[in-house]
Amino acid sequence: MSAFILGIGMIALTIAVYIPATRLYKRLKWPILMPVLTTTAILILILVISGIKLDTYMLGGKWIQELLGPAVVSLAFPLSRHLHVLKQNIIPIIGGTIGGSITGVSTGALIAILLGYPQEMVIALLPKSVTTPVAIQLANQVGGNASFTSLFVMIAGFSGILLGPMLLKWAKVRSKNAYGIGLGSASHALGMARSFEYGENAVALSSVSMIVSAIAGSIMLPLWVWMIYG
Amino acid sequence: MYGFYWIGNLIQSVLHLPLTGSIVGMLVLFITIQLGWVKMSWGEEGSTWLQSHLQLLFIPPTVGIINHFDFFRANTLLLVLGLIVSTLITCLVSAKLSEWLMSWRLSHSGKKEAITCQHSSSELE
Repeated sequence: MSAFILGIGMIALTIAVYIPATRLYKRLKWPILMPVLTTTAILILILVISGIKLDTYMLGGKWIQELLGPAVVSLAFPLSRHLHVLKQNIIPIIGGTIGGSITGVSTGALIAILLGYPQEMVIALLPKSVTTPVAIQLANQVGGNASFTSLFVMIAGFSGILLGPMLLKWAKVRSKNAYGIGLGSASHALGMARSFEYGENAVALSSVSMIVSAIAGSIMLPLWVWMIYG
Repeated sequence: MYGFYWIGNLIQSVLHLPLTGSIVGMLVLFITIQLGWVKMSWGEEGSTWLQSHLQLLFIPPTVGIINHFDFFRANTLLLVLGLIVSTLITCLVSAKLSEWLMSWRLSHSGKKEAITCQHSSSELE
């Protein structure tokens, strides 16, 4: 019973930090103030200062996290609504996403190997552009450390949503839809969340890119590991 | 939506698919919408609400970074930098490539484009 009350308290705490963080971001629009970043930072600070253990926080946190599954499922609605956009762009989506997926894995592996990291670390790094739940399963499957993988996925997500749009602007990418595809294939669900700023079409494209990368990753990853380590 | 999530999980575990239950559930829901078994109006409002607060849902897993602080203490700065560079290259390649493919399609199949556009918009209604 006390676990239940603690859980509710942790949910309330998260939302209490999240709401002002969202307001602040809407007012200032600085990428560094994205609610997921500010709220996470404040919550970590609160946990560290007050000495609340992560397990205690997760009593409530796991309920919020539980909603990720249905949230992914609910993407079927925007996908249906924007089906005509997707049909028109099927070649750019598939081409862009698979191209991104290949560059993502090969550059990641190359950098890690050049820096001299051990095999386990390199393998843990490979699924970094795949959405977390799929990436963790993949890491387990090909012999990588799943907890490092989830960390790498997060770094990929955050660096993509923070710096990606700036880079694309600098590279003179004009199409909002291409922003969606780039963010979705490099930064998965976080990229998709960021795509909300580029309109509903971008979100739909972004979510499809995320799904295509997850599928492409699931198929190609064992192949990559085999190619690199034989 | 929760129901579909569980259906997806079930299908995934029965067939041992290399996808997560949530993605399988989404595909199932997508197909049932296309078949007309599920009406858009049943869940559209809820889904928009859920997705506009998607960021909230990521907060608990990211707070979990707390347990990985040791990783940052070790000499991994270069790896993290490499990871960021690799992610940015990925983002750039996929965006540029898709934009290029979009313009290539427009210039090479302008006529076909118009037809598919009409066809699908009437289908949408």
